Amino acid sequence: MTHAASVFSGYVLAAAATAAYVGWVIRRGRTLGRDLGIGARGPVPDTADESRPHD
Amino acid sequence: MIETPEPDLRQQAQRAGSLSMTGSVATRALGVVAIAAVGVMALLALWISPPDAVQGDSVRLMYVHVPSIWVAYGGFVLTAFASARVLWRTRSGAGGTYGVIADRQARRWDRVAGAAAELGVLFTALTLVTGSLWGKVTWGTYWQWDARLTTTVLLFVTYLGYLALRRLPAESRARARRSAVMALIAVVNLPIVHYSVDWWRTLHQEASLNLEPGGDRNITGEMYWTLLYSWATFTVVALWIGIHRYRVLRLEELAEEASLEELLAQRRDEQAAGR
Amino acid sequence: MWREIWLVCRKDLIIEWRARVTLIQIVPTVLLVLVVFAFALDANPSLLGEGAGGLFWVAVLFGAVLGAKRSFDIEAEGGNLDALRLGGLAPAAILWGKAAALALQLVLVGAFAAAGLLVLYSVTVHEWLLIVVAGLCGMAAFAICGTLYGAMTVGLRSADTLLPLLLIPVAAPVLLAGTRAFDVALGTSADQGWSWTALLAVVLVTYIAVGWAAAGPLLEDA
Repeated sequence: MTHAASVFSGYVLAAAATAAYVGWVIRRGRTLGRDLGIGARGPVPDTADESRPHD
Repeated sequence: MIETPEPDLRQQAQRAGSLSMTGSVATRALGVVAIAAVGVMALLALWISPPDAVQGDSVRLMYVHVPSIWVAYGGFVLTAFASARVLWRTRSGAGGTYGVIADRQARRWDRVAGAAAELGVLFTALTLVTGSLWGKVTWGTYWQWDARLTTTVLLFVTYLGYLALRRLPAESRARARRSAVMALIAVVNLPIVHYSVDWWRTLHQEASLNLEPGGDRNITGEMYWTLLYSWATFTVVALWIGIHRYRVLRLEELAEEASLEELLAQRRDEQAAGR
Repeated sequence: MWREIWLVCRKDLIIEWRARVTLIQIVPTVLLVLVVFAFALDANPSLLGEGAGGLFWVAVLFGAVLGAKRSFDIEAEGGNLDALRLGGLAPAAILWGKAAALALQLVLVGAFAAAGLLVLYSVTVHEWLLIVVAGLCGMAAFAICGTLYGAMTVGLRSADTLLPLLLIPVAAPVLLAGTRAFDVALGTSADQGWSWTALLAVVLVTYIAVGWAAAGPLLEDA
């Protein structure tokens, strides 16, 4: 294996693994948020002021 | 899937709102910074910094390899710290009103421990992969029974086990305590493993020549700064992912509670229908 | 405290005496592992003799995993652990009692495995004292570690498959130091056998300290 090839594959693997993990985390957050009715981008606006106890 | 959540669940979810969306203004900003920093790092590490006199271009793997393990170690130390907090918060005698608050804080620390350990495992894996690629070029083999390699792979497996333990379904309080104990054992065990493996090698062969990236070779100038910059970049990236992961863990807990509620409601309906 | 530890230990040993799981299942498994190694190494007597120390510890580690599992299987049935707690036993007493019982059973396993080495691999022992001291330290360390992890996974559905994954990396220093000490005692290496035994003792002391700290959180509301 040449030096360039090892450097290239090392960087690509590292970037791919990290990107895959980030993608998984974000997607999982979106899915769960949607399932829970919160939405991926925070509380649903029209119901957000209904009840927000101070905690 | 919950189409129309129970009113109390909805409230609960909204109360958790500030915590539970995995993207907030701050993390989006952090994400932009992280991605920009990675871009600059690629330039510095692959283009601007010079090749090494001895190792040539393969030295560039060091800029991924070394910061990864630093961040991984940081993650594992954070896991241990958070686990100690969990045990402190859930110790017996923390009852009453204080107990409720303590429980909430224990859950927070438990999430911190989980997120940090997962990042630690990810970055340890990156270290192992880049290290063995470097070894293939420099030593001619992907794997050497070097003390550090052995220790690192044991570290990796130990925390894989920790994550496996965390995944098992259980009552959340018991699970938090159990994983906290394991995290503390793992972190105590680390120096023991490290030194025993060290002695194993040194008693049996000449000290292996320390060509490992980030070994004791002195590096100076641009390479030094590039390494330092890469470390800062990896820390920002890890922080960014970690915050998101923490929030996803929060959502997972909510979803777990929600599905439990749903099951209970179903059961109540069944009973009502049966009568 | 000592009395409570003894009570728990005796309870476990009586159960073992009645069911004889260690004697009839774990000991044969460990011996079987020793036999299977001979297949792996092509029944090459010199190779087997050289690796005997390491093979002993690997085989016993498997035995320790099984023993730890068994030790908490008997508690998982019918909420036995809760009963013990309700009976007023301190978590530490339960932990140390079970660890002591497991250690005694592992000593038995180790004795059979050592006999297996003598018979199957035809090793010659140069230093009996080293074998005994290193063996006892190693078994005690396995027992404490196994008990802690057994308590951690008790009642979990996938405990059987998870326990080895958790236990084997943690046991690595014991495996390593025990192997080195045995190699010296069996005359296959000219290492410092006693300093490796000292390392075993250090590991043992560390596990005891961890055990004291972990007993409460692990068993309090398990």
